Amino acid sequence: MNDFRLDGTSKTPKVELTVNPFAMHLSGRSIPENSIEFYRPLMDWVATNCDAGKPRLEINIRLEYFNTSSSKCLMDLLKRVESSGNEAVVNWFYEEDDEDMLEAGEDYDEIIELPFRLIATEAH
Amino acid sequence: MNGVICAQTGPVFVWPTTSWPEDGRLECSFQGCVTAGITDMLVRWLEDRSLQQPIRLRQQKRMVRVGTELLQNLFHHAPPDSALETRFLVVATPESWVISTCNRVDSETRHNLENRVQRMKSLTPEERRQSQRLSLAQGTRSRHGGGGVGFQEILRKTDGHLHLEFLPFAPDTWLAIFTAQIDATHE
Repeated sequence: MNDFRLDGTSKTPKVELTVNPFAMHLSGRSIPENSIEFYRPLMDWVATNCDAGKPRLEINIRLEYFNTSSSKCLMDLLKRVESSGNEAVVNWFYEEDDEDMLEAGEDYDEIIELPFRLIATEAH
Repeated sequence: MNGVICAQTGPVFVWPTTSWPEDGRLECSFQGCVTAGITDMLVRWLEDRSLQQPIRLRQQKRMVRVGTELLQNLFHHAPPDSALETRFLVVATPESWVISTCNRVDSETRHNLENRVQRMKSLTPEERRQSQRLSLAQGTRSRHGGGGVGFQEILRKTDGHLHLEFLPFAPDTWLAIFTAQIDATHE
């Protein structure tokens, strides 16, 4: 079990996947041209580290922008956590007044069985 | 003039007038191959311009979201030898921001695009949302990972104001012009 970290760039989010605490943080923007390639190591981390016997995984998603290919990859990532049987909670942060990001969170909440918290933050 | 102009030399390109706002102010015009670096630069520019607008946060972000999807559509789908035909334009009007792109397509692609956009435009906003949810939930993927969600996203973010038209370019070849209009009524 290893931590996995990536710095954020103008097109990719800051990523922190940590074992202790057992948590996943994505923040910034996710608009890479090749989302599948970017999200592959995150999928691998979930495959390696998540299963039914593990502590609850806290997933924090705080994205300003994400493109549609990232939206599919995020869905895959959350589905992989879900299918692992690992208990998890998703905290979906959105800037107040950004109804589109709120709606996106609601859409994920509708599809994914994991508990979702939609959390408004102050616009910056 | 605001914005950036990055043009390669070449024949004068006549932009179609049917979806072109008459009261618009050209903000940005790009012609050439859309690389990852160009996308980055133009998205940054869009973001900077959006932040200067006295409009709601959601509308500011929509300018960037729609621009990003349209630019990445060019990045993935404009043929590499079509620098002269590949265009990205941004126009501001008193009520809206208009983002338009042009790229070369063959007849089969034209047919597919027309059907897809027409089908999605016929849906109500709630039906569009449900349709996008369904696409998101399904495991299907396009080569670049989007699985056809891009146009659904643009239609939602423009409240259905996405216009598509085709200009004849060569036998079995067309110029696909996408024009997306984002409401930006000043508060």
